Amino acid sequence: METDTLIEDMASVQAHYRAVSANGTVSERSSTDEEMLDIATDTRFEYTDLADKSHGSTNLMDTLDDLPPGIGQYDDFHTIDWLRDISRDRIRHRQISKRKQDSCFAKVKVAHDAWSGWVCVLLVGCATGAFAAVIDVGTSWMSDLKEGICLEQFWFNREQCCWAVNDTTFDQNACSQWYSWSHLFGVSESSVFGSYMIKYIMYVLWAMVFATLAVMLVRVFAPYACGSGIPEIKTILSGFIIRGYLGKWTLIIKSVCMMLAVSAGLSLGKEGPLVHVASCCGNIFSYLFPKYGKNEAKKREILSAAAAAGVSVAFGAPIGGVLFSLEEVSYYFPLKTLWRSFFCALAAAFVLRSFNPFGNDHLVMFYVDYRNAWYLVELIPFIVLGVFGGIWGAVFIKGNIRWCRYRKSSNLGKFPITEVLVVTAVTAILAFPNPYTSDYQRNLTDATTDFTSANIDSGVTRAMWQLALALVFKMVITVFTFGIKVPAGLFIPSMAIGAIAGRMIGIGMEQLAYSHREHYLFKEMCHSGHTCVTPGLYAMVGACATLGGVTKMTVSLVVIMFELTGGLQYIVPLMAAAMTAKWIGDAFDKEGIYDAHIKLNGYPFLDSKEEFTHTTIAADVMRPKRTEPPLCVLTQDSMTVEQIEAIMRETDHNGFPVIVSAESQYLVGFVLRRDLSIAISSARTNHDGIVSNSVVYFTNHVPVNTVVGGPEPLKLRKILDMAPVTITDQTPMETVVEMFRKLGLRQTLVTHNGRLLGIITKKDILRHIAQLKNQDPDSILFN
Amino acid sequence: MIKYLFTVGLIFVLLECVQGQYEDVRCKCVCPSVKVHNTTSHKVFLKTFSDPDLCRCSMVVDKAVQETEYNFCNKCECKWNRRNTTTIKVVVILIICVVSLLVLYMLFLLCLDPLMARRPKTYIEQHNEEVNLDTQSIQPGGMLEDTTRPRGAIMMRVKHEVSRVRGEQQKWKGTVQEQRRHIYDRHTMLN
Repeated sequence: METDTLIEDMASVQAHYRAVSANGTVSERSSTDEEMLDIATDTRFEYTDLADKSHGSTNLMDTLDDLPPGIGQYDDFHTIDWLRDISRDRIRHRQISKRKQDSCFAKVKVAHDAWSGWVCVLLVGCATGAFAAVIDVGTSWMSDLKEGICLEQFWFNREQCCWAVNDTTFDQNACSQWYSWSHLFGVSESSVFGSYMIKYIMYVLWAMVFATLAVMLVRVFAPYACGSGIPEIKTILSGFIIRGYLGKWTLIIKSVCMMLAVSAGLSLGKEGPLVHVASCCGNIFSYLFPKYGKNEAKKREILSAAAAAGVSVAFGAPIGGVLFSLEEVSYYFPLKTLWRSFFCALAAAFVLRSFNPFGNDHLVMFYVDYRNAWYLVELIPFIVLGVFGGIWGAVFIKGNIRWCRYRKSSNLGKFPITEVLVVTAVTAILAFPNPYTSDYQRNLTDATTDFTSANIDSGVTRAMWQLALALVFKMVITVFTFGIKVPAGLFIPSMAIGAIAGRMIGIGMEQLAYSHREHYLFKEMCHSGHTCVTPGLYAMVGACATLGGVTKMTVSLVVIMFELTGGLQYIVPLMAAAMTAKWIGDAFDKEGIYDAHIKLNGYPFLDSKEEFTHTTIAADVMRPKRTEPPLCVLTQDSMTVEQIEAIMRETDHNGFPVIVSAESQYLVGFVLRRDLSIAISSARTNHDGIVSNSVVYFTNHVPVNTVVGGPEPLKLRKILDMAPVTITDQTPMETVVEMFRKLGLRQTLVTHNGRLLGIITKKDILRHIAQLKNQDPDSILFN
Repeated sequence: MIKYLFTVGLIFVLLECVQGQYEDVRCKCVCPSVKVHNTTSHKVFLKTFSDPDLCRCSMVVDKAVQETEYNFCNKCECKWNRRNTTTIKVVVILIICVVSLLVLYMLFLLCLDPLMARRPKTYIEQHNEEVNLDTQSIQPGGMLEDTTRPRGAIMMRVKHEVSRVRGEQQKWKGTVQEQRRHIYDRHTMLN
């Protein structure tokens, strides 16, 4: 029976051919043939391609000669179809290069097309570098504003203010040009209590002012600017649309509020937000080049490069940035993108370096420069630090996610501004008395504090106490800080925690080695006049370990750390710590903090690192399920505009399969809801002949006799995807999941004996995975 | 446009008055304290050199101090630094400008806008005044370009522009409102 219909169908096509040859001119026929050839050779087709070819034929091909704008784009909170976008780009490219021989202008066009990716990443890199420089300068100035002001040159921070003043002692780090608030208010330094209180109050006050500004600006202008941004960017790069997340306002507000939030002394960093800022630059500049601006899949190549530039400027680690983009953020990372990321990170680092924001010829404030060797025995404390990092990472992820879930579901979420203010007040009040927490990262990895090993004395004991208190305080407050509604990065607080822990262990080791100088383990470590152990190195390793435990990064982290320190000799300690931290952390929970946040928010992110090991088949996952009404389909040549509009009104599916006829259920193609509604509404306004009774044709050929007397047919072949990915109902889900990951599918159609049976979308797969893990499948929120 | 001009002008003014009082290069040597204390405090020696090769302890620290201790200079760490005061000045002032502009606009949106929305009539009146001011300031340029065009046409165009800008602003407000709903009310994102 099915064969009969098929033959019948073929016959009608043949008949139509004859009709065309009889009626039409030669040019019409040739265009039709070419069209057929095109379909045969190139299953995925380009809209403009067709528009060009149907040019000149008397409306034979399609009602919509030029497609209305918006087709091929996506709605907010939708998943993109990588295959479709990439093939669109390929066809566009082929078209441009085909015309290469035509004229000189066309040649220029080809050249422009070829280098536009590089130009775009260059611009992105430069913009990112400039933004980072402004943010770095601004942050250090505002942070010091909490303590005082450089009266003569108010735009200098404390260090710049005392730049050329001799006789500064290292410990006080102050000079006569720098006025602390107590000094400014006329409280003499002699009344210790009075000046301390003034300083304290001003510190808290400024912190509150900065935090209020940050949270209000975020709320009023760009709510998307809050948080770290990396989970969302990860989701966007995996092929999801969040409109406005990478927009102009988000860029400005995030940059400004990042400075304010860091200056407020909150336990957060500006590294994650810098990645977001860089991605915003990437998005904005990609609109200068239609090749990237109009194609979501291509745009993500630029965004991957931008993410690399973000880390490049945040840590002064260009290669680390590229690896970060590859390991942590990006989803689709071909070699071409690797080179572009490399170039983008290079450009960003170069621009930042030429601004020289810290006046030390380095890209970061906390650049450390160690030359001391390390010894094999020290691997043991390094691994201990790794264990600490892993455990802390697991505890932090658990605690932070629990707190965020509580915030999401309880009344706490209704008072975001109050929450920020309370956290700021607590942080400022508790942080000020402790020199290790009151200052932004400066003290923690300083190399110059200890020159020679000395016996334990009152200074060291006090420092140990302060460090211990700082560690506990930082650990607790960071759990509550990450997730408040200001731009908040995680890298710096994690690293600070690790650095404090590392320094404590380092000092412990130093004392141990110093007191057992003659022991065979420490014999070679303690040379005369030389320090036995470098606590700063331990701080560095500790920072690496905790960051590894929290984010579950390995390679990129180690590269970032050694680019930060400029010492290749410390790679082995760093690697040992990062690897231990990852093992220990994975033993508790496999996912890093960013994946945990993605899951908490229910973003449709199909992790390519996880393995799918269940034995279900496509028929189990496919929609409609047995109890549900049948799949909502369109037929290729028998539905009217009215019927289609009714279907679109009644359902909220994002796409409709098109079949030959309701009896045969043979699949023709797939049409997206957005394209369909845009096409129909624009046809209704632009073509008078299109009325509710018009029959919609998704086929190439419209039977000529229907036109007589009746309403004009609406031909929508151009918006139909003729090559949807299909699988059979017996395909194992392992394969299906792999297809979704590797090909970046948005949906796949399920067939049985060639007939359409159902559909599997990315959301269905995410739901299925959640269900198999005994989680609530409805936590996946978006399509 | 005027804002841009203002910013560019500001930058030029700032570039003009670069001051020489604060030096832009230095050689900084951090050395252990000269006198032996209980605590390990450090001493910093600074000197201005334009040549990084000259940045050595022997050049920076006084001879008298060097001789107080054997091998004094070996324990010193010298670094040559360079900075650009103009960049810092421009950047900080730019930041202050941006933050204050944003704060003013925020206050406007939070306080004045709801008041105006309640009394739309006064709002329109006030808006028209603004338009008049704008046209006056724009007029010279416009007249040079197209002298034959009557004033009414320009007014129409300006009105059209203003309504377009209003539309854009309304659209933007709607977008932000939507974002706020996602984050602060429904908690579907960025938790």
